[in-house]
Amino acid sequence: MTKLLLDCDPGHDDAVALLYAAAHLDLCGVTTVYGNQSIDHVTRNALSLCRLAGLDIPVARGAERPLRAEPIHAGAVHGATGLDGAELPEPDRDPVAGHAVDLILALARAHRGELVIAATGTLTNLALALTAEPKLAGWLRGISIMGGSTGMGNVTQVAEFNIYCDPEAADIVLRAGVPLWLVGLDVTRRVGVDAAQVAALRQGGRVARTIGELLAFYLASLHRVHGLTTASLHDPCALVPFIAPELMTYRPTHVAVECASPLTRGMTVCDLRNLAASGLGSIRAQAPANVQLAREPAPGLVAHIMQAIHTMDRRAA
Amino acid sequence: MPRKLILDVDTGTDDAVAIMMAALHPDLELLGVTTVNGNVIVEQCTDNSLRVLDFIGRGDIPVYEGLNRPLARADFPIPRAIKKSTGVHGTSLDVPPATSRKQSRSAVEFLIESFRAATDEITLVPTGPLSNIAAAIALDPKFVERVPELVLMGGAHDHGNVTPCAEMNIWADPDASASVFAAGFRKLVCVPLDATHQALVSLADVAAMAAMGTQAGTAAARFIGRRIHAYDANQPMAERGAAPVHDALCVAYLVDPSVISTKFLHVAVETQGALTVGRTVVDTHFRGDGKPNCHFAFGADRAKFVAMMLDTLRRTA
Repeated sequence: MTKLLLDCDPGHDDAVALLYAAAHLDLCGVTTVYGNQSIDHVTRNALSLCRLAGLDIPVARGAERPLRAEPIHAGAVHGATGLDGAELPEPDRDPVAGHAVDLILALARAHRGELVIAATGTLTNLALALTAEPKLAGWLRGISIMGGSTGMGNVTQVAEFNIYCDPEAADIVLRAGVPLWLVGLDVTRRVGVDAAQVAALRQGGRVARTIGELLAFYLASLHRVHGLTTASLHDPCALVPFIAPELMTYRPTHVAVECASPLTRGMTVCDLRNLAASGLGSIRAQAPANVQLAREPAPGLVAHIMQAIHTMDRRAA
Repeated sequence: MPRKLILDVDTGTDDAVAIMMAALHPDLELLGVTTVNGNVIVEQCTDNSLRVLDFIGRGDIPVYEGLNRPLARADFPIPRAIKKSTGVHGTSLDVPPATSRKQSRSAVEFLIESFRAATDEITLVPTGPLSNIAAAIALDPKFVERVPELVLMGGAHDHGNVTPCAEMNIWADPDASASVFAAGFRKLVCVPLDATHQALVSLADVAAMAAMGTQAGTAAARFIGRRIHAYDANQPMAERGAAPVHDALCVAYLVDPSVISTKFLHVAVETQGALTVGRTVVDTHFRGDGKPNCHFAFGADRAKFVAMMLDTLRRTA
């Protein structure tokens, strides 16, 4: 079974991602990063979610701020705790000693050539780890990232939240030479649950009910802030390449992050031009693909994610 | 009364088709053609424009030569973009040398004077880099308010052509482009790659043009045939044997606005990005604080466009 480390900032959709991962993969550890809320909140949330799902795995606290940028948070969508909307169990343990970077390196070293990482928050921890241990890139089987977009942004006109939080970190990860999958906002915004699907979750057992309450809050926030009528399950999408790759299409693409200009800072510049291999010997030349870029979600994806919540519900019962 | 327009071009094979349509369509009155450094150097643009007008018997339409370089950047777009000919434009268009000569006044003087003296509305249609238009804005404080509608070919939202995220015309003089988009024109219509790539002209259409027996049909068949072969070789469209004829879509819009579908949004042009310079930053989801300033075309009606093109090219002066 695929060994996975989840690097996340729970976060309502991170919560679903954690359950989706635990239902299908060997979830070896969770690392946290500031983002949807402060590092204190998201770390506590990760511990509570592990208890909710009955997971006995290490949780390590990670970066509390970006490499260079000023930190921003998404409290408007995720609430004051980062997981408003449901009563979560109190954590039954502390985070493990050491920084998220230490857990990433320890697990990657222990499972050389096997470990995959799903990153559903900003990429500060991964950039730090790849910089601290140059061999890490060779140890990982792959990293799948929820982040970026091919067109629209959600923080600015062109930038998506996870990448915008720390563009310099994203730049380091994209250049690291690790096999990468990138699932952007243009795809994840088409993977959402509506009020009826949320209500159905709330009819389930303890885990499903809790996730249903969380998603009800999230849906209401998204409706209030952005006028949306479905709650996008952004973060679970990052697990699809490892759990059910057939539920998305991918295109090998060169992706780089704009870091220089305020107007387009944090934009993932995806080279979707269809240029012939002959090349044009000019600025038009295309850099080699560094990313499997998600393009289209399959119709069954939302159901597959929902099913995992019920699976975890039964396991925890 | 026919709709009056001035074309600002960098002829160029697609500009040439735009010129022919504007010069021959009974609903349009082409008052003049101004040229600008772009697809080829400005002297070549001027020569090509004169050739095309002479070839279709409209040597009476005056041609004014404009800026031979971008406002601020000595290395844009030549030689950076055009180290090697892409074959899309070649150098001289494949029609005999012109006997008409360019006017002695400069393009920018002609633009300012035409709008200053206008008693009827004149639509300004730039289909090359925006250097002349920005120069006119800088020279004449009343220029912007005197232009009732500006319809330009340029920009891209989904993906670029000259770089992964920028289109040639906007990229070629990004500072001029930024100035035009921010100028506050009463009506600014932008026809980007997102629209022109939906309005492909096929080899079958080219065959129909070649069989017309008109000068315009003969010339268009050569120009567009050249484009299709170059696109197939270097930047193939999803449909082989077909190519966009970008600039002509702007002219078609003047005759029948329903040939494109637009959204009224805020658009700015990136001038500082390391990767994103020349991008049209389109605020599709109202995440920025700019008010809508541009009717940005996301779609085109290919059948309607091609039918209008064929009808127009059947005409003689």
